[in-house]
Order: sequence, then structure tokens, then C-alpha cells
Amino acid sequence: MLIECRNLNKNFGGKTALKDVTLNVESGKIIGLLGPNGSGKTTLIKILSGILTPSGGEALISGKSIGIETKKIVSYLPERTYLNEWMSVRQAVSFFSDFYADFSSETAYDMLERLNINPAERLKTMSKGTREKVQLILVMSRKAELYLLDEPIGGVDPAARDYILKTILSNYSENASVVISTHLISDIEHVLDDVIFIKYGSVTLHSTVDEIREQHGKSVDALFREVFAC
Amino acid sequence: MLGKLIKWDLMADWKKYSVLYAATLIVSVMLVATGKIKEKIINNRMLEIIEVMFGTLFMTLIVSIVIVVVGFTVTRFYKNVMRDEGYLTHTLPVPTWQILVSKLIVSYIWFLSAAIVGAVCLGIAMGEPLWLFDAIGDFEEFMSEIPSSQEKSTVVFLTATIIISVVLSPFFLMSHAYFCFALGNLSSSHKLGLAVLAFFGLNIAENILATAVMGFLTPDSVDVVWTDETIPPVQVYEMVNKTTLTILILSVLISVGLFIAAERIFTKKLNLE
Repeated sequence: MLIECRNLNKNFGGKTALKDVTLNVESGKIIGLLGPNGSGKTTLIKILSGILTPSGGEALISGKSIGIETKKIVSYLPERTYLNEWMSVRQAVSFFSDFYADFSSETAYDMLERLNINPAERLKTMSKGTREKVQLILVMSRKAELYLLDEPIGGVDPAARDYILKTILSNYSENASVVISTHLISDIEHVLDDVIFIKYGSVTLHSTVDEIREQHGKSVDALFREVFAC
Repeated sequence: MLGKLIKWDLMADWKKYSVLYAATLIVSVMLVATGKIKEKIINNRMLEIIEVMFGTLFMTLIVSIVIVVVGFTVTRFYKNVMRDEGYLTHTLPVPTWQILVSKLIVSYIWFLSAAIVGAVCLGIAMGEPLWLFDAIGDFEEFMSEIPSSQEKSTVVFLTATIIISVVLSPFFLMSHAYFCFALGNLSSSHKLGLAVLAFFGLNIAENILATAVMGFLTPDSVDVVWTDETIPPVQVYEMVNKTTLTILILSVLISVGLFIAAERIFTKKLNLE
């Protein structure tokens, strides 16, 4: 198993963000982590990436507890811009190359060129959308075992969404898994193998996309709207 | 990895520090230059105003240079570890202690460079660039005038303790800051507020502890110092030595403890909410 979560809990003060989450994710899959805002998607991804400590339970990646060894094999894209703004794009590439053994500068420069992003430009002077693209390029230029992408298409226009999905699909290795958190299901449904529905911090469904279509006779988007109807 | 962390931390802020140091150097040179010109052109009101202006600016820069360095290093830590950049910092495959140690080493580099720039600028402004060496010479002269060897050794001990305290002061300050930020990290919504509160609280607690220690160590000696005019100076030095050394050892122990506690909190209870 690539990801194993056992009775994972996370509380913020008196508020429960994750409640007894138990799930297993295999290698070589693209998984949609789906749920409305505030359902616990980001919290789960943050715990798996190691920037949040669970209040209870256990999370393992490739059989290892979250720590330095898992950070070596997990490529994480947060929902915000986390790059140091004083850097130029070239420096950001160099930074990733310095710290991640699985990072390919060549792949990164190739993608930057295709997007007409000048490596000499400073991140500070770029638009938010371009910064997000640079960030995605850096994250996807790693040959990681697990990609955790938190709302990668949340703040971009539809044309950019297509590019981002194309980038994700063309850059992850076949043995790796990609967890994509989003509530824009129709945009990503066609690329997903599995889906995880998360509601009020609990996993309510973990299934393959094919099973959903067979058992429910509807698309993931339609089922999502039904399950999470207000 | 530690070397790489240090390299990137230095790269992040070197421009800011260069501007600060260059400004201080330029102002000190301008101050001296204005003084020299004023010696040749007497009774020039404009030159007098400019000299006062540069003098004020110079004093402000010299006094504030350490405060600015503290501000820069603490802000860098907060942004890079606690805010958005922390999402990258904490997902790097490096142990937390290396992140903290790299920040500590880099802050030492900036404090040291600020001290050197400050000393050089002071030398330029005073017209005595080698004043620090002169001061060491003066100290040696002062030492040679002390007749008793016992008194001499207590003065050397006191001076060494003070120098060690000054050298360690960035470590004392940064370990406190790291611990307070680590505590702030535990809060869900008021991370910075809790960190600031913890910093003041910690300082108050330490001052109370230091006062208690001093009171415990020196009550009799203090009476002697203030009431008996015939007291030999060596006794005064010994009393000061004992107190200074105790405070120094306590400060080292507390700071090491806080540094380890900060590392443990960031490792086990990281909360980039």
C-alpha cells in the first residue's frame, strides 16, 4: 500500500477536522479527493505531507511514518503559493534541485519553455496564476512516488485547467499515485481512477470511477451533487 | 543538507543587509568628509546643518543596526517557518534541527557582520579606524597597572565572562524566539500573538529567576560592598564574577533547553494550519 491511514483524527481546538479516517491507497492510481469546502480534504493532505500532526491515529506512506523518509518520496502542491518570492524561477529550480534527489531540472526547464515562462524572471513580479504554474511545474518535475495536489485547478481559468491536467498526466510516473483534492469534479473526472468522498471529516465513499458508474449509473460529478446536496 | 539550507538562507537576505551596511558606511564617510570640509570653510551655516544631519543619521544607524538585524532575522524565521513559505520549508527532506541550526548560524553571520560594520563605521566617524585595537591596548595597559595577581585574574575572568555572554547573546535571543514561535505554532488562530505573549512572559519569568539567583548569591557581599569602604577591590570582583558566571551558566542552560523544546515542538506538533 502506498498510503495507509488508520483511525486518523485531527481537531483544531474544539472543532473536528478529521474523524476516524481509515483508508488505503495503492500505487499507480490517480485519486480524486472530493468534498465540499471545509470537509477535511486539505487537512488530510497536510497530514500526509507532514506539515500538520494528527491528533490521533496513524498515517503511513510506503509503510513509513510521516517524516524525512516520506518527504523524499512525496511531492506536495499546497493550495497557496509557497515559493520564496525573492527567488527568480531559475533559483527556484536550483532550490528544488538542491534538496530533492528525484528532481529533474531538465524537465522543469522544458515545461517552463513550453509555457513561455522566463527563468530569469522573479517570482515577486509574476501574476498569481503564473506563480501557480511555476509551482506546479516544480512539483511535477520530481519523480516522486506520491503527488499530493491540493486544489491544483482551483484558482485558474478553464484553459489553464486543461494545461495543468495535461501536465499532471504527462509527468507522473506509472508507478506513482496522484491524489488530487478538488471540488471541481467535472474538470477532472475523466482522468481519475479512484475517488474518495469526504464529508465533515469522514470518508463516506472510496471507490473506483468505473464502480460508481456501474453501481450508481451516473457520473462521479452527478453522484457528488447528490451526496453533497445542500 | 545543512550547508544548502545555510546557503539559501544567506541568499534570501543578503541584499537587504548589503543596503543597510552600505548606507551606514556611506553616512559615516559623509560625516567625516563634511567635518573635514567644515574645517576649511569656516562659518558656513549650510555645512553645519549638513554635519548635524549626517551626525544624527549616523547615530541612528549605529544604534539601530543591531535592532534591524534582530528584526530581519526574526521576520525571516517567521515567514520561512511559520507562514506560507513554511509549506516548502517543512516539506523538505531535512530534519527540523537542521532547519533551526541553519537559521541560527545565519543569524550569527548577520550579527557578526553587523558588529564588524558598526565597529568600522564608528572608527571612520571617530577618525580612528583602528580604535578597537587601541582599546585592546588600553585594556592591556590597565591590566599591567593592577598590582595584585589575584585581582588581575579576577578582572580577566570577569572580562572573559562578559565576552562569552556577548558572543552567546544571539544564541540566547534566537533560542527564545524559536521557542516562542514554536509555542505560537500550537495555536489555531493567533500564532503570532501567542508567540509575542510567550516571549514577554518568558523574559519576565527569567528576570524574576535572575533576581532570585542574584539575591541568593550576594546578600552578604552587597552589604559589605556598600557599607565597608575599606573592602579590597578583589572581593568586589569575586562577587561580580560569581553572579555573572551563574547568570551565564543559567542562560546557556535555559537557551539550550528552549532550543531543544522548539525543535521537539516543530517536529512532533507542527501545525501549519
